[in-house]
Order: sequence, then C-alpha cells, then structure tokens
Amino acid sequence: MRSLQTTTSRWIAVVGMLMGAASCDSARFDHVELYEIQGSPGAEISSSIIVPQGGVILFEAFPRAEANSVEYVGLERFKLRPDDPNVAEAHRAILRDTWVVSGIAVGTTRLQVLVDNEVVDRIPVEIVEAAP
Amino acid sequence: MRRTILSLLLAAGLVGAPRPGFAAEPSPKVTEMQQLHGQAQAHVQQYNVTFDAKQLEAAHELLARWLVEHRAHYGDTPAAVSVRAPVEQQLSTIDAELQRVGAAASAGPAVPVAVAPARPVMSPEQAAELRASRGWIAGGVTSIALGGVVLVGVSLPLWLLRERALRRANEQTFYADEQRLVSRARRRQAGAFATFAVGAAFAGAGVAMLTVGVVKRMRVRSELSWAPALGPGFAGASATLRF
Repeated sequence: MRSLQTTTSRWIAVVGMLMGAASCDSARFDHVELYEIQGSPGAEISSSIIVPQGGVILFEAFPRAEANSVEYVGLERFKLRPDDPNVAEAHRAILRDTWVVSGIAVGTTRLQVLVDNEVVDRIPVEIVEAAP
Repeated sequence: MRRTILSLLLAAGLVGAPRPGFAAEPSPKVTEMQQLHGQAQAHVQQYNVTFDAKQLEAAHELLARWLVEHRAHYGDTPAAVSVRAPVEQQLSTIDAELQRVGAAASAGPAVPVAVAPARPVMSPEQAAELRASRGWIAGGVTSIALGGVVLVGVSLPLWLLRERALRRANEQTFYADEQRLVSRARRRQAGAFATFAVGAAFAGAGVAMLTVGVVKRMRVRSELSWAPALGPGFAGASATLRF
C-alpha cells in the first residue's frame, strides 16, 4: 500500500512536471556568469572582457535565469557571438561550457549572448594593444 | 380443516362414551371414566370455539387417561377394544391437530408481508438511452484506461529517460559528449510531450464520455425513480431510491 502511494505520488509529481513544462513559461534570462580559466598576458575579465590584440582568453560561461523563473536545465542552445568579428572572435572550446575569445584588432565590441537563438545580453569586449 | 376436525370430534364423542350395558349400577371407576370422557369432550368443544391449544392439550390428557383406565378396567376383550377404537381415533386426530397448531406457533405470528412494488417498466426510449449511456460509460472508461496506459507506459518512462540523459550530460567534460546526451534528452523530451498530449487527449475525452454516460444514466434513473402505482384498494406513486 505504501509503495502504491509512493508510486502514485511520484506519478502525480511527474505529471505535474510534464504539465508545468508544457504549459508554463521557460527560463527567463537574467545574467551570464563568466569564470576565467586562462589567458594571454594582459587578458582578464572584469566589467568587460579585456584581451590583448593577438591574444586569447579562455573562460567558462554559464547563463543564469531570473530568480522567479525556472532555471536552465541544459537543453537550451547557448551561444556567444561578437558584434564585430573584425575586432574579436568567439569560439567554443572542446570543454563543456568553455569559450575562447581572441583579439583580432584593437578596439571595442560587444559579445552577444544568445539563448535559443535570441540575443538576451551583450558583454563589452575590449581589445587592447599587446604588451611589448 | 377445522370443520372436519369438529365433525370427527363430535362423532368420536358420540361413539366414545362408555356403554352403560357393562354394569347395571355404574361403579365409581366407571363413573370416573365417564367424567373423564365428558370433560375431554368439553375441552374439545371449547377448542372448536376458541381455538386455544391448551383446551386440546387438556382433552388429549384426559382421553389418554380414559384409555388407560378403560383398558385396566375392561381389558382387551373385543367389545372393550371396539369401544376404545373411536376414542383412539379421536386421540390421534387431536395429536395431529396439536402438531399442526404447534408448527404454526413456532413459525411465529403471521406478519403482513410488505410486497415491494414492481419496478416501473422502462419505455423503449428510456431503454435505448440507458443502452447509450452504457456505451458512453464503457467508451469513457476505455479511453481513460488507454490514456492512462500511454501516460504511464510511455510518457513517464520517456520523461525519466530525459532526466537521466540530462544528468549524464551534466557530468561530461567535453562539449561533444555533452551535446550528444543533450540531443538524446531533447528527443526524449519531444517524445514525452507528444505522448503526453496523446494520453491527455484520450484521458480527457474519456472523462467527457464518462460524464455524458453518467448524466444520461442518472437522467433515466431519475425518470424511473417515480412511477404511478395502482392496485386493489390502492392508488398512488412509488419512489425507487438507489444508493
């Protein structure tokens, strides 16, 4: 009897999740968390991503949802793309959630944050002169 | 039956009296036997009027005593036996009557039996509607069961497999491995949603059909629950309630 109740409760919970997933709104983007892993000398992540020209920075990027919405589950298509690919380029690394931004030319641009092909944020990128 | 007994008892009373020819002057014993016989016949008469079984029992006892006394006094001569024969017949009749009365008493007093009124007869339209309601209910139950099977047997496992794939994707180090599992989770999620929609549609349709069937059945039953009733010395309406 107890196992039946447990099964029933689990079933009700799963049905609720299915219905919730089917009917409620998806996760609403709030911000993206960036964690630097490694980079060329002078490359850093502060209020913007700073990369010397010809250098790279390797970092992890995690989109975070609003507190009052459901969290990203991992099925979302997350992407970073520069506004101006002539100033900086962004590529996925082989590791999970890891990205590489390389400095092409001195200048500033912004890194578009796309969730499910929708731009939800822009991160400033500054390409500086490489230190001699 | 009682009329037959009465005549038999009266007949027995006439022939059962001791013949006065056995002695010119009745002895005290003979007088006592005559009194026994007379008292027994008096009790029989009382029973025929009042139908009180105690009167019959008393008569039985007195006649039995009379037979014993008679046999002791006159022996088993053919004349004595012929005198006792009607009394013995009367005694057996009383026995049978006492058994009948006892059986009737043990069965209890006759209680008026409440006869349930016959169920109202359904009209062809009502019968057709009842049949239709059964069809709706059967269809509804089948649809609900089918929906439940789809939900429990397909949607639920797919959703659980999706969760498993996502959990495993989260444990991967390389992007390619993660994406392989994420794609698998996406497929399973799509399957779970599709089958959930199908199962929910079946279950919803089943609930709707069941509701229609129950409403139809309740309507027919409510029509049948009140019906006019007519009988000898009785006219009115009968209500049938089901719980």
